[in-house]
Amino acid sequence: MSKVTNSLIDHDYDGIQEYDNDLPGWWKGLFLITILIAVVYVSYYHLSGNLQDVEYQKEMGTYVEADAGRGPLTEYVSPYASKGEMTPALRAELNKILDAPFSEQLQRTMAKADPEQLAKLKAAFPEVTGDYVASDISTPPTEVETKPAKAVSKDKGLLSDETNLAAGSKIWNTQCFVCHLNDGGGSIGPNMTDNYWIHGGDYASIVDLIKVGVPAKGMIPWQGTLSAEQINQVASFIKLKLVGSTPAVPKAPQGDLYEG
Amino acid sequence: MEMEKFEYDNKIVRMFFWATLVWGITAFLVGLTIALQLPAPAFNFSTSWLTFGRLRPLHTNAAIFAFVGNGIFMGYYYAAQRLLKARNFSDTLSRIHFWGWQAIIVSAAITLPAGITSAKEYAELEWPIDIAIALIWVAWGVNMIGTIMKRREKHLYVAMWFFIATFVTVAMLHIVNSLAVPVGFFKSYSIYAGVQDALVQWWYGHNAVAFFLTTPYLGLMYYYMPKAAQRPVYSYRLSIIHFWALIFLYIWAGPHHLLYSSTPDWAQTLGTVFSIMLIAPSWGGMLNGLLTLRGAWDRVRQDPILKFMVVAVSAYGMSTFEGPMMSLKNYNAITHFTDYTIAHVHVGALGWNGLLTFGILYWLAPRLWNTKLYSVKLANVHFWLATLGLVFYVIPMYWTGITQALMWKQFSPEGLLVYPNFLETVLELIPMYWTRAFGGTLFLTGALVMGYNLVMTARSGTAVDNEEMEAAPLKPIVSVPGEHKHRWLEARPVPFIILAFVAVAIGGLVEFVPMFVVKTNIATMTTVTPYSPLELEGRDIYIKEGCFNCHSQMIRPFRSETERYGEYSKAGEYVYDHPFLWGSKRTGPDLHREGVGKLRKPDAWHYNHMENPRSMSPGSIMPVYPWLLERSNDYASLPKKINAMRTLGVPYEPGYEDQALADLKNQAEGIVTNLKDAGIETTWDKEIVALIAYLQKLGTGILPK
Repeated sequence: MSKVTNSLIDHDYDGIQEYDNDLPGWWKGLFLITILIAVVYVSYYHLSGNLQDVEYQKEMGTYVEADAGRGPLTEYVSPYASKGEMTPALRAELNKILDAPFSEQLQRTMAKADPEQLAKLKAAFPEVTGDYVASDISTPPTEVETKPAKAVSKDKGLLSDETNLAAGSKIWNTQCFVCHLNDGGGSIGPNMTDNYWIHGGDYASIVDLIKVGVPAKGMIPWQGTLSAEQINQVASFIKLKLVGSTPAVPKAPQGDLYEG
Repeated sequence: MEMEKFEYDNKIVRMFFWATLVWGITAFLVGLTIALQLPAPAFNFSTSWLTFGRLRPLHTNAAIFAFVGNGIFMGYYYAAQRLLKARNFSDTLSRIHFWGWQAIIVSAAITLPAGITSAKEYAELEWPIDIAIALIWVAWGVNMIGTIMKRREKHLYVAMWFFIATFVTVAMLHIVNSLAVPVGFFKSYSIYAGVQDALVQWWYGHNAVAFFLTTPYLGLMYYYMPKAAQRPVYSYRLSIIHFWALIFLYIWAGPHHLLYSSTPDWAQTLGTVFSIMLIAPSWGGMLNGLLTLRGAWDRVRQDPILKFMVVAVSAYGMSTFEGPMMSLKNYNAITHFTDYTIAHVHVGALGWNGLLTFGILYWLAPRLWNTKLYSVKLANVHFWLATLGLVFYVIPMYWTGITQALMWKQFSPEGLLVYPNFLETVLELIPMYWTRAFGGTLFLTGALVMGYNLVMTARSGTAVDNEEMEAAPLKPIVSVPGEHKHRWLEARPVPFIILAFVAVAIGGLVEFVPMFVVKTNIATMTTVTPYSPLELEGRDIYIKEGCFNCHSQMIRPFRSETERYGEYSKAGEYVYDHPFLWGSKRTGPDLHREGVGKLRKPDAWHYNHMENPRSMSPGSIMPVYPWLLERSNDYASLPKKINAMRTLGVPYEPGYEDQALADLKNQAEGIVTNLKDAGIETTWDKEIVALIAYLQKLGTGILPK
């Protein structure tokens, strides 16, 4: 394949000579293989259409084959761009909906449909239309998870045992204190000790607020960072330990006094 | 045959020799400083011009352009005169080249710490210095081509091919990438925006590695390695194939710096496949180096010069295999934005460039001063310090790279990020950062030992400025029947230069033309608006402080990134970004969605965080920026900036430059009010106010109007 003759070429440059050796066979083979890999690589990604947007949709479980209705994104706008984040928990909720009977899925579609679409759907599936109750199923996906909490009595689920409160205290002192201070007196964020609340002072409202945050004012939505259990723990800590305590430098009350 | 007498200019070689040594030690020292700043933020000394964001570009520029640059010219001026059997074309040009280059380095050493930067990696210098670089570079080129024209050697040796390719390509890269609209003497905006700017920048950035750190050093290897080993080069035919393949393929590979970014998939794929195809041509150079040592391996055991060269060429082989691996999408998904890349470039910079330069310095010193090396033993000590320094540097950095990437990507069984707080993944790396600094200390110590050895060598001998030589004049070039085609080309420099230029121009053209002409490559987003005057000024502060050195603005389409940062970045969001600020390393978290969704924080958070990051994020390794809270800006250049941006296609209404200051003040007062609500007193003209406005704008382009 290649010869190592070690015969010198009859020239020299400042005393440097060169052999007329052939290129090593394995080197030529390597070069050819890399060129083949290049051809295969291009085909693999570009003929299959398995490009990065599709790859992402597959990872998120939102990919639908092109001929099944929605192809690879042609416009760079994600369906979740303005609807909050697609968290795995939310994903699980969506899967539940997808697993639901056809009639229920159809009703959800109807709930979101514009009047023209709705008319078509009603005409096509008269047997389902009879059961259609818009108010019950128009809940957007982001609220699916929080819905049960709203339905129950106001302080249900409040954790009062010391283990959970200690866990809540730890979360408070590693995450929340940055804006609300360790003693809850408030600095960037509001005072947590005065029982005045901007978004509701009942337990369920506090849990909800921690979950979804108030991004416009800088309160972080914590549901992607803290588990549901952790959020319950820290909300209980706020309600049972911080409210009513005396911070060093209390920030002035904001919102309404909670009398529950 | 009539012989002509002439003299080699050794003085210019000596000038570049000392410059290489001094700037090398400087680059290592700055490198060690920033290595210490990561585990211990106190090393930023609360001083604006000593913070990491400003010193990191100084380090990279010093290593590449001051240390390696002077190394190239030192090696070139010694080798080229001898390979061409001619004195340099013009001694005056040689001197202009030397002093011009040093002046550029000094101006870089002043402007970069002062925060005067274009924000493009390895091209940070502002436009007046860019023009000086172009002129001095051309002075070298004219000197080279002039010497080639008056040569007494019919054919050009392979080392000269590499020097020619270096000159031609770097000139092209530097000019195209540096095009900018000036706003004053110290400030300019890249003429390209967003994705296009990124593509041009990494076409440049990757090929700065290729044509500044690689091809000229291959030229040096082809001269100094056979010289030091006193063995013939292994294969002439391999030289031909690997030279042309290398320069043709290298230029395409730039987009591998942009994998999984908003750059279109086709461009990313080109970057990947051309990187893969580069393995063999790169290894061709390594083979021709290592196989040249056949029959001389016994001497490698004793001769520190050969030791340096063998490790250098091996490091070249390793990093040119690793580079293509890092260009694969799946591998890059792990290594990108981490310290893995830092390890990779240091195998190249410390190993290949550093050790080859050291070998050449040791080889040249006795010849320039007609003496023996002062101490072979100290050279051996240096070899081990440098090699161990390299090992202690790169292994911790590979380790941190993989560790952090895995931490970023780890989900709990409930589907939550296990390390939602970016800082947790940073704190895990601190011990490794100390180990890396230890490696850097060894490497620097070795260089100081070398400095002593070289000074003592010079003092023990006598320098000869002009070395006498004689050679037969060049006969008219005629074709020899049956001659190899490449031999024909080697005797004809003009066609050679033209062919080399064609080879390096093709890749760039094929990538740029579609990106600039085909509209669908950057999908329009109607929700994206130009920066307000205050945001624009804030962006300039972000650039000045070098925030992009540690924070990316490019969220990749991975669940682990969208969970952490929010919706992944789109090409259309960057259309007003002159220059783009995607960054290449995440020492801190990505900031592209800093102003939207769950990452948006109150203005007061940013205010306190810039004053002392540890007040908001305990344990953070970010430097403090108290001066941003104190410095006022009169915004005198705002109308010029608005006009410059409009020239570049940003849709500010005609005449808006007159209203801009009022709008700026209005927006700034809003932030001042927000801060006041949180108990912070400040005024509208403070730098911090503009920076907050910019940070709160980031990522809002996806929100509905």
